[in-house]
Amino acid sequence: MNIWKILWGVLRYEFLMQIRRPALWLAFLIFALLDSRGLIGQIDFYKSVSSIHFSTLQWAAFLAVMANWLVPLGVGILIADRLPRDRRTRVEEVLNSLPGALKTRVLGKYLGTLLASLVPSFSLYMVNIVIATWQLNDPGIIPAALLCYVLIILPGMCFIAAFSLALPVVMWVPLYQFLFFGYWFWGNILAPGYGLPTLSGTILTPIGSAIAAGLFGIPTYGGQGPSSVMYGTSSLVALLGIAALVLVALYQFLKFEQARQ
Amino acid sequence: MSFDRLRYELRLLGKSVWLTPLLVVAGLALLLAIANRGVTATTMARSMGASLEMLLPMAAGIVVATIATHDRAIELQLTMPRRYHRTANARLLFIVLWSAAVALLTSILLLAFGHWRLPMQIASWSQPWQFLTWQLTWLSSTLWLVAFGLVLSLLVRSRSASGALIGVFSFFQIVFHGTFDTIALLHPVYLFPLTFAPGVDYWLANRFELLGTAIALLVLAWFLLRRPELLLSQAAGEE
Repeated sequence: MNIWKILWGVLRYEFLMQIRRPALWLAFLIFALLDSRGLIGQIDFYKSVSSIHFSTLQWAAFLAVMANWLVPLGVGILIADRLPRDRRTRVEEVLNSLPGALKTRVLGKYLGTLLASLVPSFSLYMVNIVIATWQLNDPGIIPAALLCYVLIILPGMCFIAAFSLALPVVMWVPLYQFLFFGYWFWGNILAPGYGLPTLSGTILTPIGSAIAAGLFGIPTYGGQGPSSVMYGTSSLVALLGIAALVLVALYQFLKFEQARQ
Repeated sequence: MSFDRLRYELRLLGKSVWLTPLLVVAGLALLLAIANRGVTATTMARSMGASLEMLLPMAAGIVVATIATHDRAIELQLTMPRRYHRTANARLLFIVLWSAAVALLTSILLLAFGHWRLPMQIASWSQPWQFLTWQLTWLSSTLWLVAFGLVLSLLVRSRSASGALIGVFSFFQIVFHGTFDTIALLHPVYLFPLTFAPGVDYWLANRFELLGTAIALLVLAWFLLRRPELLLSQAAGEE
């Protein structure tokens, strides 16, 4: 069978299975309430600081990082149970007996669940952008926000989705969920000067603060280090590169497990 | 409950449930000890206090949301004379008691090593009352998040979404702790005052308010657990 047809088939079914989960929409509805509340307060605060003068693109980049502080948690956690669920419902054995190659299935599952989880996430982002456009009275933010979504939010989402798909294969799902929350705070929001060594402020920040600081020159969570285009680009490339490596490692692990059976 | 049944339930819960609280507390302590880059006594006390006030309760809440209402043989058990709510309550009790044991032991060690972050309200109290009252730091947050997790898992009928909501609610409180501190209406649901505002004058009231709302949530969960249709049906995609 054509590899692209298999990939499309897996992607389509994974997408539909994920997007039809009422839990996904319910979780994001509650996120929307929390996220919008936080965003309005932050915009008011930054508007009131007289020393900060953001351009439209910088406002959009700032909003992208702000919108990203909570949403990846939902995306990561709702992707985390996808592979363990295949095992629990005994679908894995059936899938293993089918001709589709394992790597195509892993890639299809990754893309399908990620794209489906991004639908409510993007909807929530656009709600926030509309609120911000109204608050800042600047319609130019909408096209800039779309660009920032691709450059700032998507690389981080690819990064956390890869880990969320892979790690629960070797880890109890609730433990992964808890560690993921801990990691998100420690590695993205905790100030680098607090005392604990942290990934916050480095290029490995999926919240997008390094990309926003490097490419758009805005101060963000722990946005330390050289704010150059190279800094932002290296963060973007590192996040996508690590996501790809994690998927390769997941494929190799599943292949090894299959061979052992 | 017979001893055999107790032993069976403990085995059913599995190692992961027992190791999670230990991993949470010991993991952070180890990180602080190994990666000691300018960690002062104050930040050490604050971080370890936070592990009991925030991390341990969050872990307990997520674990309860995941396992208390889920059983592979639930259909079989619902046909038995013994009601399922007793099983769920027993599991809940085990998780809370184990978290409590870990928290109590850790707080004794913190007191012994002098990494003791005190709420201003009880700073002048004499021992043992100060030590005993301090235990409300983890007890109120744990009971509240555990009760919240149980109710969520019964109403949302999705383990992942319940875990996500518990985590996000706690995370929201961590990031916007200032809002919870300044708005008096939010004090009854402010879970982590010791970590972010030890000097507040409502610490004790807040701890008892949390206990009160936790009991109300547990009563609600007790009624929900008696409805088999909530236990048997999972939301679509959450099997």
